[in-house]
Amino acid sequence: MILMSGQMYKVYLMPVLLGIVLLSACGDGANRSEVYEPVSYAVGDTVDVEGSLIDSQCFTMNKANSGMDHPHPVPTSQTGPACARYCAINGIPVAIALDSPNADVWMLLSNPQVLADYMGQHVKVRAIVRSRGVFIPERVEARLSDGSWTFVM
Amino acid sequence: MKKFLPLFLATAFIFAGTMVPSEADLVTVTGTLVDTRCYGMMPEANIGNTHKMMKGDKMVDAPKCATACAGMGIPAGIVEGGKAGNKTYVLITPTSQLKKHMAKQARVTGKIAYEGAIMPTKIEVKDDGKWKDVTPKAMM
Repeated sequence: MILMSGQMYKVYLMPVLLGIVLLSACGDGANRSEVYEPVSYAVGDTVDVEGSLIDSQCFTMNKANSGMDHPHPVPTSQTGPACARYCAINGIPVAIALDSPNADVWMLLSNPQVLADYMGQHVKVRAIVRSRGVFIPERVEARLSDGSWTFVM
Repeated sequence: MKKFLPLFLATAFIFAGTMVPSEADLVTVTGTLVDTRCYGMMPEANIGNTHKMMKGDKMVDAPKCATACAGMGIPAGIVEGGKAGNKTYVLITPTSQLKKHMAKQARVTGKIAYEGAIMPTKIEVKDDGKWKDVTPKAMM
């Protein structure tokens, strides 16, 4: 085993250790998907939840894509304004980011076109729990700017 | 130059770490393409293209229901192993482009985006014993 002198430790080992620490802090790169741990509901239960309607595709690529307008649309050739509406009209499934500490994301098994005009808005949903992370929505209402609620589906 | 070598090595180490693609995030699921809503209501009855549905107080058959639902934009999913009740993943993709392939044996490769949902990078279905790429085209 080759032993390094104390001086060589300082010169070579310390920067490598610094690199390890910084790498750990940064995570393992932009390609990692974030797996959300949803809140726990029993399968088959009917639940009432509130949250925001999101485009499931653009949101998973960049969490800044949570409103109607996407600062980072997917694909990049797509324009940002009203991107969420465009995605929903074109059949990308809509999801709800719940009002929970983790903003848990649950997929909504419904025609996304019906929800297209309400993307990014705060909604309340009555739904059947299909499986972890998946709702069958029975009723969706959206909150308007004056605080009142409007029936969506 | 020698003075900067350790700093360069550390920088390269960090950079290399951030650029390595996370292959562990890619999954491949083989199973059956389903209309997630009807299948979710009655998994055993609605794993194929003909679905059972209530008409009045009777249960009737609705032929090509999965195709119709996919055409309307109801999210498609894949039932792992093709057996009703198995783990099901919602596919984050334009569903209408898959409507001709509902109820077929499928192989989906992609990343787990959320619990119960896959962002597919490749979708294949078995046609005449061969795998055929039917990945929906990205929106432009």
